Amino acid sequence: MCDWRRLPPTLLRICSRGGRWWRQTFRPTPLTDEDVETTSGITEEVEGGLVEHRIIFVNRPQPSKYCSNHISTAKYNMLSFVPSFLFEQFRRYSNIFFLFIALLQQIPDVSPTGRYTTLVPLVFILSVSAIKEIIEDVKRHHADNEINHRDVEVLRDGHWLWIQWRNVVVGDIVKVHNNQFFPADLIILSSSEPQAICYIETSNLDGETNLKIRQALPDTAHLLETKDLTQFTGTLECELPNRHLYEFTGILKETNKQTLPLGPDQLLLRGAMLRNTSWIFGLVVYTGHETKLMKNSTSAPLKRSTVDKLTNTQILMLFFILIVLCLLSAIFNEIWTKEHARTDWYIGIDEMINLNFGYNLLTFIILYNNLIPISLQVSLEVVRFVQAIFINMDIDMYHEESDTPAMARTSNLNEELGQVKYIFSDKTGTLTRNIMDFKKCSIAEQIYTLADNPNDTQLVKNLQSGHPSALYLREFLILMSVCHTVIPERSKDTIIYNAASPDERALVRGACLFGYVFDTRTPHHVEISALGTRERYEILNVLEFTSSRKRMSVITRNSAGEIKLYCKGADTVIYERLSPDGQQFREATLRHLEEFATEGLRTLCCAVANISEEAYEEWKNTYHKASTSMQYRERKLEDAANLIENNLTLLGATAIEDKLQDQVPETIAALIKADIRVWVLTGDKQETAINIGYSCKLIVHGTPLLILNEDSLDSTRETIARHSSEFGDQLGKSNDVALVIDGKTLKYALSCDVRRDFLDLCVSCNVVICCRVSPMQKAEVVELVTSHTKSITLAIGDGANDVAMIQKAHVGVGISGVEGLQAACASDYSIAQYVVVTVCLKAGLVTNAWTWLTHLAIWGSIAMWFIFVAVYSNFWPVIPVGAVMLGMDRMMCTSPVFWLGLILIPFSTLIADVSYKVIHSTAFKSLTEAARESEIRKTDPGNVIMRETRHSPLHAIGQLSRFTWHGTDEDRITSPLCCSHHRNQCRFYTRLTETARLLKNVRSVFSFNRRSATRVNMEVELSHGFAFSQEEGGAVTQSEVIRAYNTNLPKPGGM
Amino acid sequence: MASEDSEPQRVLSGESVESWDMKRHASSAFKQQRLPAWSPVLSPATVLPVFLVTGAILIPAGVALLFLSETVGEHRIAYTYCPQYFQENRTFGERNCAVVIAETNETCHCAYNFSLKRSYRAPVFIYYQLSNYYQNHRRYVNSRDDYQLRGKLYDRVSSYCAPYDYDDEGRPIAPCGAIADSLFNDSLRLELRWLGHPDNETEEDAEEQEEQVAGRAAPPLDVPLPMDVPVLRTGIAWPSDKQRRYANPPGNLTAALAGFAKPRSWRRHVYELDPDNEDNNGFVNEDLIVWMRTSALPKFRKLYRRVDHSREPFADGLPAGNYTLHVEYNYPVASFSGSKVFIVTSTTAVGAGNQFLGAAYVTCGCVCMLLGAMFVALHLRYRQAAAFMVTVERETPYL
Repeated sequence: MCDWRRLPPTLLRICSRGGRWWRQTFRPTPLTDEDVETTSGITEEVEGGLVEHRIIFVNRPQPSKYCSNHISTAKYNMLSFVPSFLFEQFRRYSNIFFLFIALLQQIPDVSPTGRYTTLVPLVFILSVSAIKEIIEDVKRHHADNEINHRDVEVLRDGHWLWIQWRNVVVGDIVKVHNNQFFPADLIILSSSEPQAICYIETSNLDGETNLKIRQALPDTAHLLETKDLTQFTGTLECELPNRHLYEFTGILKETNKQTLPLGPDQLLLRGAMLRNTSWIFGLVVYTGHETKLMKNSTSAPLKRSTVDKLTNTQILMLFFILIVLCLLSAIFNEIWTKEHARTDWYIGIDEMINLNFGYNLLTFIILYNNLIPISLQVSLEVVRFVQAIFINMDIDMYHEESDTPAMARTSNLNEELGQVKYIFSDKTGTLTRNIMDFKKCSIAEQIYTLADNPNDTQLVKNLQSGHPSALYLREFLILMSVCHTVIPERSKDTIIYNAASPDERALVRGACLFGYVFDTRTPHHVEISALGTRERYEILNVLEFTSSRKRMSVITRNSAGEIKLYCKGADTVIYERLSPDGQQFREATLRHLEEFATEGLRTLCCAVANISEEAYEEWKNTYHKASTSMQYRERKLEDAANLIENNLTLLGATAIEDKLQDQVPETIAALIKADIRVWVLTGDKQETAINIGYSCKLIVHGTPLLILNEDSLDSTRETIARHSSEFGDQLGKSNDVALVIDGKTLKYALSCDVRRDFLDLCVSCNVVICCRVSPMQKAEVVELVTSHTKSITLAIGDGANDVAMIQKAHVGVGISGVEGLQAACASDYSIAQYVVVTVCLKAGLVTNAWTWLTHLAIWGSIAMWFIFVAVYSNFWPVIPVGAVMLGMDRMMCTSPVFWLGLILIPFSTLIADVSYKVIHSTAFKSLTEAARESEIRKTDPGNVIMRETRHSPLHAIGQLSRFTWHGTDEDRITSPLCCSHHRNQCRFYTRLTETARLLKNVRSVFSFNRRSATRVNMEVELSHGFAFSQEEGGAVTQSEVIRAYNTNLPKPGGM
Repeated sequence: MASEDSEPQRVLSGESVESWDMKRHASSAFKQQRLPAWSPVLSPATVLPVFLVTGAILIPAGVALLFLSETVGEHRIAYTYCPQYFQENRTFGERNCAVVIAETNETCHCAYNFSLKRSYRAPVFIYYQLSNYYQNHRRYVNSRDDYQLRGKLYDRVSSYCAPYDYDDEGRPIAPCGAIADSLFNDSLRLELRWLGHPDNETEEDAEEQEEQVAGRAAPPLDVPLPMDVPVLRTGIAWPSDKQRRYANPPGNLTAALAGFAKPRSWRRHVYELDPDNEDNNGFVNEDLIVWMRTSALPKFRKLYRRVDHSREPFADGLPAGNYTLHVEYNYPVASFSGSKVFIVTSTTAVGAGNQFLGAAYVTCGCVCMLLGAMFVALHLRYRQAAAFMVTVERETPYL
């Protein structure tokens, strides 16, 4: 399938050519000259550069050997472990330095210290890291193995064999069943569905929620049985493996037949999943690391925390200081030696052999090597390791249902977690569950909700009791059950709905729950069971959904012969098509729409129109002409549809919930409270994305939206500049504005000269939503922020399309559990649910409380020192080290001076520290300390907050908002107390924030009134929560799909 | 076949069932990091008493220490450039011993008269102090053979001993190394000339001026004067060193050391160090052991002798009176501008005289008291301020 928006023009041309070719062959017409040209064009290329192509022989052994389907995401294998591990380790300056010192110490007579004082700790560090790496890599190997050992059915020598994924080779014919992942990149040959179509879910690859349709070539669609397949011979030529997900060109040459072109419509990518299709037969073209998915995965970069980078640079600096010190020391040593050599007879320097400068320098380097603390590395490493264990053990991050605890996959980023400033979140699977549910509807000025039983619902009751609006209710339900392109499938007693659009499926299921069960579709009819009575509607026309039309309609003829047009779509487009007398529910429905939208529900407006036989006949001709026109067909079809979608009568509106993950709004609220910016990067449509923004409270009602939808670099630059200037001096500061940008504009916005301005604009907005972005764009956005702001970024996602972004961010978090472990594998931390993020971030916060462990550590280390002295003082002569230390313990402990000093020194050294803290906490108390103190005194922290307000003059709005912010921050600390004991204070507090909010809004009115003009249309529409996702411009149009199905006929078994 | 909303097929679901409950960790307070914690809030009110109490303890302790160190008697005689003294005819030579030793390398004698204005309480120790002497030199410190010093004699000595490892004939030196070679070999003898009562002290005695002329004999009491102050050559080294670090080879010491040369600077063999006490010879000689514990700073004092308090009139310590210090000057330090000092001193309960510790205690205590007073002021000021703030009306409008 071609996505028209993302491809460069040349490819677009190829695609459209392919597409047109498609449609023509689909209605069996002979090849036109143009098509021959196309085909020969490709062949010429083949001849021009034979090496550039891959030729696969079907049902014959392959002459050349291809990459195996075994994949490995692990960093090391048995052989490569030692060299690559060492390489990785010795990229740290400190390790190189320690190695250097350790080697120097092996030279006798140079070292003033023992031979192994550096080597032993170094080996210890390296082995700890090695063990850690091994454990982590073994896990990766396990994950890989799990994937490599999945089973798939493959046709070998005329028999179907279950083999493991890793054994699948290029040229194999595989059979993939419903809800299974494709084991490799396949060319679809045939499927269980009519006309060899199949549905695939690619949310793992590109994040789009709707299902996509792929269709086999009609020439191979007949290959429904094993014997057909075994007799099928030919060659398939295709381009070499590449990373372009939306591009594919190839030709299939069946023996003794004409060559056929293959395009992306026939390609089933690894990582996608077969949906709503019993089975497909596919020919393997790319395997293992040559699949498009694997080509898109980049090797995990070595992420290093800021502390790591800091220590690395500081170690460099220390090394410099060390060298200077050593040089100075060596020079002074030279001078001293010169002076003393003759006179200090007792040392015997005169007779010393090694008196040269370089030798002394080395000695000093060893002597001073403690300047670069090896213990720093060891303790950092150990602390992080323990932290990681604690993260893994944390019960707050444990997800009961999927039995997944949080997992810290790399422990060296723990300290970053507490400093995260930007969170980049994927939508599907991360924020939402990718489940759409019908929630409620508004019909004839009344809102109806679902009940357990259809007959219990108010709707059905009203319908049966002959409520005045019963007629509208009936029409509405018919619309819900008829106006769609869903394919029903009976399995035993239940009906399964296969739909390319999850919204439509939700609607049909909604209708079911109101007693209007849609169960049969034939090429020209649909049958429903309306509260038990069977009704049959002839589908005359389907006017498809496109994002520009924002609506879809179905023209039906009921059994009485009346022609009706059912239309559903965005409120804006429906409202402008209402007939003068069909506007009866206009205001009420609009109110309800707003209500739904506030709850974050996806809304659709529903309307119906009666069409007279004559009018229909006339329109039918127009439409037919449009659909057969050679030029501007799409525009003409649109115009034709416009003609009949008129004089509508408004029935009401539906509300569908895009189910969020648990507690997402709460989590987002907490994050926003913590002054963390949340960006949503999604492959989904703009409307959907904004809708989710509302439903997870990322955007609240009244938040101004900046929408960037431009189609050229110039206009993008201009728009960004305009918005930036409108911000004025608020640019770069945090503003309560949401920025929405789509992938196409993003492409321009990320180009070199604009990206800086774009970033400034983004940083000025509290919320940024990027929709229809490709995985690479996600990564680019993350990289932009990561490299240009000094803040720590965190990316969170669940699918393969998030991998790049996860790898680019400072901290990558993968959601594990549901499906596809790619994201979790690439991440630094994997968690089960979005809600866990807050807990995870809390892990990084500083604590200065003393637990018994702290006490243990403090007193224990003092005790350890004594024990160490006692032991070390008794080594000699049992262990041949430390002769000089012998008996030191006794001498020390019997010396009163030592004990007196031991008392004095801690006191005298702590005086300064304690006094500073006391003075600071008294005279320059921070609000946190004040609140905590009063909490300890069992008094009211509200007073403290109040006191603070007295201090800050509230005349300036800016300051007020800052204060509010302060307060919220505080609230987090004191909230339990605040809410349980001091209602009064809370009320006061709420009032205060409310005032602040109002004031802020006043400000936004002032600063944004100019912009509102450009934005108004979009906003009205969006505020009503319209969202609908369906594939556009796909391989097969929806109307063609429904015409192909007859659910009364059994499907082929595929054997 | 197609089922909506159904979970994707889980290939390895069997495994995850097995590990059920394994992944969930115990909810113990430790594992969930919910241990009871104590967070110190440092406010004047809490810190104040601590400071005041600390000050109140430290100041008296410091005063006591100062007082104790005052009671220590110590007498020092710098004798680096002492004039040569001929014992035979009791006259002084033209040159000082530093010059004599440098020119002739022969033992030079010198003597100092001094008086102690008050008696030193037992136990009394005699030290020698060297300055500008780098016993801490890196090569010097290592220049010894620990195995040899434990009596394990080999023909090869540790390479660290070089260049004091073999003599010109190739015999290994025992004990080898620079430390042993540079053993302090002055001999210091203290003679009591006149036993004086504290009341009889003259004005010039009080000044403790060293008298150059000997023989102004005082009336003897019940002991024959002049007499040597009896001293002990043992019990001056660390017991652990003597017991475990140093040992003589088994059997006859002289025989065992037959194949070994004496250190070049030494006048005697290692088995002749103590002519009086056979057990204090060889590697376990305490003078050697003391010297082998190298000092960290270029100015250091080492214990030389203990006064033997078993005999009168030294039972209670070193009595006040006139003394003569007789020095057998062997050790050259003038070449590197070093100095040698003879020190006779008593000790206290907290060791030798140490002004610093007492002073540090007093200073620290004073600082604590001062800060305590400051915190009182701070506390008073800010408590008042806090009280004022609480009286603000809750309903006070804020805009």
